[in-house]
Amino acid sequence: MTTLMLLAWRNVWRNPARSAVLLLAIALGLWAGLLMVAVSQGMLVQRFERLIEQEFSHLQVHHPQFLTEREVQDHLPDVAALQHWLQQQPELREHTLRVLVDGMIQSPALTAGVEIRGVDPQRERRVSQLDTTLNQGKYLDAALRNPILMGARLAEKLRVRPGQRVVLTFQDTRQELVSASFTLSGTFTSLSRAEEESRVYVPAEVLSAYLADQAIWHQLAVLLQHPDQGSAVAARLQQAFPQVQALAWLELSPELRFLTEMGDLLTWILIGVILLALAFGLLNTLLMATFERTHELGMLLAIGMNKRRVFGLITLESLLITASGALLGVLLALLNINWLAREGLDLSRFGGAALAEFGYDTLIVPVLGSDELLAVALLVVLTALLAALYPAWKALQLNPAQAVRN
Amino acid sequence: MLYLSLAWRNLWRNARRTLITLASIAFAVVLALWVSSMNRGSHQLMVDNLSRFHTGFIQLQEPAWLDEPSLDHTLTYDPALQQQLLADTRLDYLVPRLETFMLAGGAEQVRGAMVLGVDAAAEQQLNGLQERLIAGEFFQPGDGRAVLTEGLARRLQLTVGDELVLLGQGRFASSAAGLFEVAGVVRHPLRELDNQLVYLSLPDAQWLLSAEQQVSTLLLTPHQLQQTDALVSSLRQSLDAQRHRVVPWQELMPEVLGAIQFDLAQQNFVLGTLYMVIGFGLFGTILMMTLERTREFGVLISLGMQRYRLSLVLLLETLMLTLLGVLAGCLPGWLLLRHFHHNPIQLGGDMAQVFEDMGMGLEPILPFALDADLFITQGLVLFVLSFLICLYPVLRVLRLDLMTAARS
Repeated sequence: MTTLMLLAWRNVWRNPARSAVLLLAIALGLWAGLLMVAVSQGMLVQRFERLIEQEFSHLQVHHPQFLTEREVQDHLPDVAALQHWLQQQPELREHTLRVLVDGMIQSPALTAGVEIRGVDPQRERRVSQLDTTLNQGKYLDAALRNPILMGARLAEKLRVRPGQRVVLTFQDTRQELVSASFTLSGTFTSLSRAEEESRVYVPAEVLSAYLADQAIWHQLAVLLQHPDQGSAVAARLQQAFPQVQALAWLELSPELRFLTEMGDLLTWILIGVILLALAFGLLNTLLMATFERTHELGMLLAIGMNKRRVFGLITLESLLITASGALLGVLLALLNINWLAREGLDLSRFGGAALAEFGYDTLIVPVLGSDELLAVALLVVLTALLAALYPAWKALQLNPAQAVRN
Repeated sequence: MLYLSLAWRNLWRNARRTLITLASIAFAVVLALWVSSMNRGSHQLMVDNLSRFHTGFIQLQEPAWLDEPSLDHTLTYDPALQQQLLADTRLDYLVPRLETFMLAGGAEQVRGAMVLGVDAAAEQQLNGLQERLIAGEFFQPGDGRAVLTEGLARRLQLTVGDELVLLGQGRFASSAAGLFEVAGVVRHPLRELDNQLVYLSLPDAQWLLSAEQQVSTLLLTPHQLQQTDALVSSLRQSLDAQRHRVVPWQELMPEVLGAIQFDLAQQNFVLGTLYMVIGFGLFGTILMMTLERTREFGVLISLGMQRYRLSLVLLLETLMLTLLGVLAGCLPGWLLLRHFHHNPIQLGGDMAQVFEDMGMGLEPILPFALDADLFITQGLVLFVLSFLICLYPVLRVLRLDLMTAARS
């Protein structure tokens, strides 16, 4: 066995060019796979973290029927107890309460459907950073009676500017229609067109007063230290308060779940394709190498080395090269990803120049988890070894007498 | 000519070697085709699905509608316009819609609702709306009945046979109010619409809103998605821009176009990585081939063959090899894509549920496009790539050390 090992080692170095090509091919395959995983993970984190924080928070609590029915009377019970419980959780970063009702907005120019959100202006800005998205006017101006904030596109459609009035019409808890006039305080922009066209914000106490005799809340939005804590905290809250419905962002947004899962699926399909390309490249190179070494292998067989050992020799050589290639590949990928994490990968260089127009951030910061690293590395090594089997088997088919004469 | 036949013979002198190299190139072509076809396919499906359920492929609007989508800016939809449009053979059919926002009420509940006056047969052709009925039936034109989406019906607590009150504003600030019998309930795949749509027949809606012969938007469906751009530009030429605005899906759903652009940039990055892996695999094969033939080159040069002539022969070999390889990859590539084009990958189980939950009306499949330009682009890129790599032996011959070559 040691002899075989020694022989394999020497063979690897006898033709450095060939070994180097094989080694580099494996390293490159691994680098490519890891980079792809890291970029797609980075994209996910980047594209969605902001969206999650602004739109869904990490965790939301509603009346159990509110999300499906959206009825005004399905407001949150035991709000004080909920808030008290939350304050005691170590993961809590921020939380805010909202009043939600669907209604109609009217200006002299247009009537449209809107989602009306009653918010606590101070708490809201800390959770969703609503004030940072303003493009016109002021954030819910306390000096105005009944201030309202709306999407820039909606304001454009309604043809209203800050200081002008609109009328909101909605149903209160007694199912009576209420109309009230609001003064436009400012407009905000959003990545989501639907949101910019159909959402308005008003102070919670104003909306609440129109809806019911006492203050009511429909939604409790919570930011935690880390998005991944959402599900765990939601489960704990659900246990403590079975009368409400607590959902983490993953369950709140089927779209995000879709994009996350679809992105994962596509990444693994593409890694599969890269592995296939790698396997075929290796297979062909090794096959060529075996043909080139026909004479040498024939000689070994002729002087009495048995076929099992020749097979072992070739497999061992592949193993040595694969292992060093994998090591080099991981190193290369880590260095590259580290560098990109500092500099950012500019996707606009790959033909996405127009992306900024759509509000996409084209600079991607790759992220690589240790699980993914291990999985990709194992897959690459396995692929390389599988690809080495056929040429080794081919070498066994050699006829010593003919091979030597070659 | 001599060089040509020399090169050709060299290729087939060691057929096994040539076949391996050919296979390398062909395989690369197939993989690159597969990846780009999957990408293209999913984009086309996304555009198709979303256009059908959302905005249509091309819309005809009154120019002011964009800034102010109110009933005061509607389009006159008469047989003359219909005839003029349908004269273009690329256009399949027209889907007229008259939309406005009104209050919808049942016995107890009142909600804001989007009222859509439609031609039920045309909608059926566009998105199979009638198959989404979960109760009752569709109205006949002008029979004074309405169809509700499931979410709205539940909120208004209405079922088939109940009465629906619609209250709002008609054209030129006239008041509009009407009583309609609920004929059916449909489940709309777009969740945000499922909670707020009321369908009326077009004549009923036009009567209710005092908007005879008027439509808000006219959706134009081309025979093929790829014809959209050409159709839009010829419509823009033939129609009076003062009266008709032609808007393609790219402008109607800019966020979808943005998502596609983003995807494409990512795809190019992936393809770049793939080319690199493929290129290196091919380089390995070529390097082994060159090593194997070093002695042959040495002997030829020793015998007096000039280096540049040998290089020329090798260059021709390379050209033939890469050309053959790319062509050889296109056929299995085409067969593979055709197979996947007709049998897209079905996403089952969890993924199908995720698609359903998202409520955007997307089918849970990974479709593949079968477009000629994919073959041209990928074939060309891989031809250039393989050609550059296969230049290695040519360069090698120019700088070959005779003594070591002959001894190897």
